[in-house]
Amino acid sequence: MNSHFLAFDWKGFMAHFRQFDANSSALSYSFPPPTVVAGMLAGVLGIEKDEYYERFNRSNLQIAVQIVTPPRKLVQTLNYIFAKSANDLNMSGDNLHTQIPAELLVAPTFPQAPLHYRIFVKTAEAKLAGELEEALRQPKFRYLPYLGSAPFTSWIEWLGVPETIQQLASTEPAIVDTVAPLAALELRSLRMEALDGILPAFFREHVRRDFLPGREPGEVIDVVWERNRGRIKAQFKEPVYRWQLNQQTFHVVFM
Amino acid sequence: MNNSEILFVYDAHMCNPNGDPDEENRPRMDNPTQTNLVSDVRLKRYIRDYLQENGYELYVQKGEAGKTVNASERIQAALGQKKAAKLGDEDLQNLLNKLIDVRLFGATMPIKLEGKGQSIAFTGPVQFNWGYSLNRVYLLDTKSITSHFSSEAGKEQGTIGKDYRVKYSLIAFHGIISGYNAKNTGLKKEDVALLDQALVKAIPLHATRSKVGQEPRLYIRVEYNSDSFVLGDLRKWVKFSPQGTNKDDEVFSVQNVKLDITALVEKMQEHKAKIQQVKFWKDGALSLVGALDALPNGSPLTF
Repeated sequence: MNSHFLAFDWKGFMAHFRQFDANSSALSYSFPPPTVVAGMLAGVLGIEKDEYYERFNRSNLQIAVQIVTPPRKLVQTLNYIFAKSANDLNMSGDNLHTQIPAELLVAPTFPQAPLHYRIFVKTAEAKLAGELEEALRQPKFRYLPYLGSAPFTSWIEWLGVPETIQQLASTEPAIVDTVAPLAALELRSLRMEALDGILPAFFREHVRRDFLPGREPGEVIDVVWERNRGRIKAQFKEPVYRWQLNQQTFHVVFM
Repeated sequence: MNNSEILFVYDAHMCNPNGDPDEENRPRMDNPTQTNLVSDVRLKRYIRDYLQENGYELYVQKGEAGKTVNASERIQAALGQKKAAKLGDEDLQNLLNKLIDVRLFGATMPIKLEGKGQSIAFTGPVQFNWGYSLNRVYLLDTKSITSHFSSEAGKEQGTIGKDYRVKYSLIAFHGIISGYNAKNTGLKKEDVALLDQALVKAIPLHATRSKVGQEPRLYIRVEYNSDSFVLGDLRKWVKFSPQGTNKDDEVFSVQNVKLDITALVEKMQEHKAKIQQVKFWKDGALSLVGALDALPNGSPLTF
């Protein structure tokens, strides 16, 4: 079966991607995990909540994220309505508010520049690829895209479909531009090796890969990303794709 | 309904635009860049208060003193019922017709409908981003303030708190009205007109101690001709520069502000085929570079 590929930039001034295992503090991932991107794409096409999980499952749609500008986190405490039941949601409870610390993401040079993520999509379904391209190219949205949470409005800049795409041989080390699943790396192949004179700073996050039908939680994976250059040099045992897109080359591994 | 995008700029002079409850109520700041922040919730609160003061019935509203009305009672009151009853689709429509804040901002309501669980969530078509200051903001040294309210019942002395204020902050908000979401809550054209009015008028009316010194300066609402297109965050095309001084910390009032919207006007001209109308309002004291009249299908707001 042929695969279909497309890419776009996703930008906005602030973001919040709540970590699924955070409790009373609303901690944020530094990038949109695959569930967030899938939800946003489903929303753009107007597919209702709880109706897209099967079609947007990893077996049909794969997502890779490049962190173009490494975000900065800032903590702001939010006054939430203190509700012990839905009956208190109009601020009628005894204690009106509860304070929730929330991590918000901004670009290093906020507010001069926005946050910037580059999203790569691979799907086995030609119809879905066509619908996404039509929606993102124009752009033409049903539900508007938010960076993780409704107060963080965002915009999308279409990049295109790759001119060429090539799967690299797994016998050579590769330098990828995207967040990579740890399981995609050969054991002990990640090196603290300077790229262009800059030492890498690796971070690990624990993300959910997808939802299963009925909003059943899917597999949880560990991923690694690099803050200084956004590039990871390692030996990969999962496919690394070389994209030629608008005269640029990207090395992409899907989450 | 069509999509709209909103650019709203107001300023804060020697006051506290939005305190952080966990930080001694300091104005919210992104410290590395000295950017003042205001949450979307704070802005929506101004709008809710304005609507309530003008006699509109709300779902999330301040009750009469000493009287709490829980959400179920609130819904019953809005429907003119005395007792809790199972609600049908028609009741739901009546509720939406009555409660303008739900039509604008959405809500989760404890309503039992056949096969739909214990509560119903309406996603609001109107969403605001967090506002941020276009200038570098300096906090004033705080003095301690005293309150007549004691920390516990029975104590004689009041509490002592801190009173942080910004020297001057020019705050820009971006908002979106989603035509697609508007269908779900039954948002009306009149509601959008009222939202225009509330944003321009509400803030000076909200003159509590920490909020005295805030003035709206610029409001632009771009209405597209479809429910599927937005340009995305109009603040990208707005540029602030100080006027009458070269130093950021000498920006002390609207007299020191020059706002350049040339790039925004150009962007709108470029996409004029997608724009139905632009509604705008500007405060007389604000120096603007770029003409509001040049916005495609633009017309000033009148109330």
